[in-house]
Amino acid sequence: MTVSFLPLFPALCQGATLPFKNVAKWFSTKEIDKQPMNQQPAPTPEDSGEPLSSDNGVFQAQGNAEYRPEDLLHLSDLEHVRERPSMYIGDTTNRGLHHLVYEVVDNSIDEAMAGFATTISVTINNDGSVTVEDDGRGIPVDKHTQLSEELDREVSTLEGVMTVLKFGGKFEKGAYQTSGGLHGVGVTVVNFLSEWAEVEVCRDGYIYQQEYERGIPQGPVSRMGTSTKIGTKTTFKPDSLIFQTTKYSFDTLYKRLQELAFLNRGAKITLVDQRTEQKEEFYYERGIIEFVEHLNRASEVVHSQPVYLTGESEGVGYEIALQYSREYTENLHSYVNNITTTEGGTHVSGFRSALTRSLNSYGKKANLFKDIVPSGDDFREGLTVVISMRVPHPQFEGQTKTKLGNGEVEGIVNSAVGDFLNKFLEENPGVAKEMVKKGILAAEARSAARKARELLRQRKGALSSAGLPGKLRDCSSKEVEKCELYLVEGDSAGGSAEGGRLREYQAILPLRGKIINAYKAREDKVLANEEVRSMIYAIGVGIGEELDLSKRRYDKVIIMTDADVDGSHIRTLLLCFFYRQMYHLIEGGHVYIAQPPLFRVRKKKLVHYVQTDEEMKQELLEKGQNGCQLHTKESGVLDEEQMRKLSRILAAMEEPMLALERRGIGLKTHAERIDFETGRLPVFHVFWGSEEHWFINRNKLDEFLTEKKKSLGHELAVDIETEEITQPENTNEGEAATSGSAGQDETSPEESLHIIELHEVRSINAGLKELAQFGFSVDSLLPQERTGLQEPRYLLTNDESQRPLGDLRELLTNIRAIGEKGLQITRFKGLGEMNAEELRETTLDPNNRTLIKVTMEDAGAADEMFRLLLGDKVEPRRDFIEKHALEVKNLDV
Amino acid sequence: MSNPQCPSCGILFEKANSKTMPFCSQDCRQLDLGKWLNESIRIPLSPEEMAERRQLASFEFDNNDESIDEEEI
Repeated sequence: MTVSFLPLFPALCQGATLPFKNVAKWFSTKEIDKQPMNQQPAPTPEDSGEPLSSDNGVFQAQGNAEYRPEDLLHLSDLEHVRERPSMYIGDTTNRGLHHLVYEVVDNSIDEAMAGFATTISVTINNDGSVTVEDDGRGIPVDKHTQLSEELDREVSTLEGVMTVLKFGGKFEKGAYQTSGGLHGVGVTVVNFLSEWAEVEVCRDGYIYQQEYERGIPQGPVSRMGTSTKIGTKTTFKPDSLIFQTTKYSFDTLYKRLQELAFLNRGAKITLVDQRTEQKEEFYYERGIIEFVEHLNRASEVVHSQPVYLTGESEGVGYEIALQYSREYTENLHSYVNNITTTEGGTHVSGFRSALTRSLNSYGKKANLFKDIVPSGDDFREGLTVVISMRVPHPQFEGQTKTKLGNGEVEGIVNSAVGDFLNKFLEENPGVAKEMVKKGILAAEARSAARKARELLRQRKGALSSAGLPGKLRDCSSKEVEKCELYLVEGDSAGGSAEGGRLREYQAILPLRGKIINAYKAREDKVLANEEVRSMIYAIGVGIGEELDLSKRRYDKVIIMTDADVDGSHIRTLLLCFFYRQMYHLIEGGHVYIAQPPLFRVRKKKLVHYVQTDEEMKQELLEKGQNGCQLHTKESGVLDEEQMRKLSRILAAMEEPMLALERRGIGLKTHAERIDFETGRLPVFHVFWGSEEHWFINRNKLDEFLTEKKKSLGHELAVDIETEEITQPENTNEGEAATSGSAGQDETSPEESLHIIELHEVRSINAGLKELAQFGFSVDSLLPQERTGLQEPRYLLTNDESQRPLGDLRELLTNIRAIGEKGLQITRFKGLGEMNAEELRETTLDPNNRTLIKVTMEDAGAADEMFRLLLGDKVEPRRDFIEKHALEVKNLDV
Repeated sequence: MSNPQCPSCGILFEKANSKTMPFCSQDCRQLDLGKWLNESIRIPLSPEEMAERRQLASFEFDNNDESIDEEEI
């Protein structure tokens, strides 16, 4: 049967607004109370006279045992919906398919929001149909006068809801303040687009039911039996003649139902998939606050509690929750009557301008802006916000009709948010400052990013035609897996490396640190901008978010710097740079440190290279001991084997003794403080007001502290210093033991307690214990005052020579001196001192060289050092300089 | 493992959450890149190094030719 919908269309439009005014309020409580099921509404001529309360009080279509299409009042509606489904549900793809569920759920949500339903359950059934059930009031099943008149038979409200477009409570303000539903077409369209549908209503103690096929009722609403439940249960099977796909996705429904649960605080929504037995329940007591927390669940938040406001003005309800995270983007979700407004609209613009205005005015008042005042965009970075509006007559505009057009909403939201935020920021200065700072950070980042882009863009001059830096000596092979890039410190070393490299696979990029004048007499070392850019281009992986390891031009990036302070600085700068800006390069294990030798050792015609001071010392020690004996007063003559043991002990004590002396504490002075009972030197140096004490271990220290505590009657403020080099602020450099008390008097002398722990003494003590086994005391390490023609205390002999020693500390030096005989040792001051051949042999040739793979920890340590160095604190900088000053000393040993 | 600390802003964050390691956010990474390109990530020279440099500078200034000769040797 074909009925053209066109002639009837105007009637339909009219019908949507006018004829059903009186029935539109079927959900309103008042109406229900006034017209309960069992009370007969005002009699009408069409009334069958059969009261609904009668035992078989089921609607019977007059004269019709079977429903036929002709019985449908608005047949044109059905035709139209099925011919043009996209007009009603957007499209007939997966999206439209799922939209059917949302239309039904929206009705249940309306019931929940009106306070009548608490639980909504959605079930994907085994046969592909979907059931939506709520425990709301149930769609009324009483006779609908107007419909009955039009159809000339008894028609229930339920049937109207299911078969007449734009029928129902949604279109009148009286039933619901506002209601959801994207197109406002409701369950009718769902029914029309379903192969079959069934609705079950429980109310007033009975179950009522009606079935439909492709929108056409298969019989009147019938009363099935009694039930104590109330609610509406709708089941429908989407029509495969309409939809491209009819398979429901659990995940898609999950997302939207969860969203609805967030937006409708207190509504419990369950989702069951019978096909897979997946189950989920959504219930959010705190609504969109939890939504914001959920959105930020994987992000670092700036303030722990989301900011929340809600209210109503001129009939427009608003509910907003926001929280800043450390993310880069804005995460804004806006809704009007539960409908996503992806294109934003007046509510969003009202919110944004209020946010920017409030944060900016707070920032100005609190004097937080220095150079940059953040823009609205800056304040949107890292903002997670959910805006949920209730607008009685929303007007949707835009391409996808998802932009709110109601002009009045902008002002309402703007002033509500503005008033709220101004007050909130005043009352929560901690959170306010964090928010404003986040905006400032974003503004600074924006400006830095712009600069970075500009700088990286200035390719002219620095780069060859191939886009590579002019200083790069590239390798000839394009086999990335085999290629290596050496970052070489200094131009002269770069020259040697270029001459010594394996041209096919090794590329050389010379780099150098740049010295720049910082303020006052300070000078700093940096990687020049030019060098940074050269590296970025040479390595080829890009930077930051565009970093793409697969684009790397080399498999290994090898840092090759001098073994001096300058070299270590450049290495540290490079490591820090890679860690921060090419993190994945290190993570992927592509960064290495070359180990150029520190010494060239020539013995007649044989040459070999030694990499570190320790190795050199060890080598000389080993060699020097051959055939040596040590004559001692304490223990007679030690043969070579005994002497090797002894020198190992002394070697282990060598560095700790130097460390102690660097503190300004001489071994001789310290030896006088020895504990005779244990033979141990004190490890703890304690200043108590003007008193000074030494303790050999923590037990003794604790005893002392406990005693002091007792005599004072309260806890002590202990200030323990464990740093190896730093001196307490108030003591002078030099002998800490004597000058320590000077500054202490300034602050309550009696109670000022300062403890210095001398770690290195622990090692010395351990060594002393070993020495005791040889019969040597601490005295053996101390030079003795000569009293004339005494025999030397110790005598080191071998076949060739005799060496008198004043104390055992001289032993190692002398053994090494013996070991040095016949060797020509050259210490390389820098890579530049090696010629191309030497460099190849020791550092470039994959067969001989030693490479150290840079780990995350190595690079992280470099990063941490800079974090301290660049921080606001002064001490790290001072400590750093001192520590490095120390390294210089070490290198010269 | 303990949470990493962002090199730019210093907050502790969960590694798993950051797509911008080792930074907590893209902002912080950009700020840092800006610093490298502005040459503001620096290592202070030690007093010894500064003294050495000054000495070297005056030496080079006084005996410019000689120093070049030495290098060549």
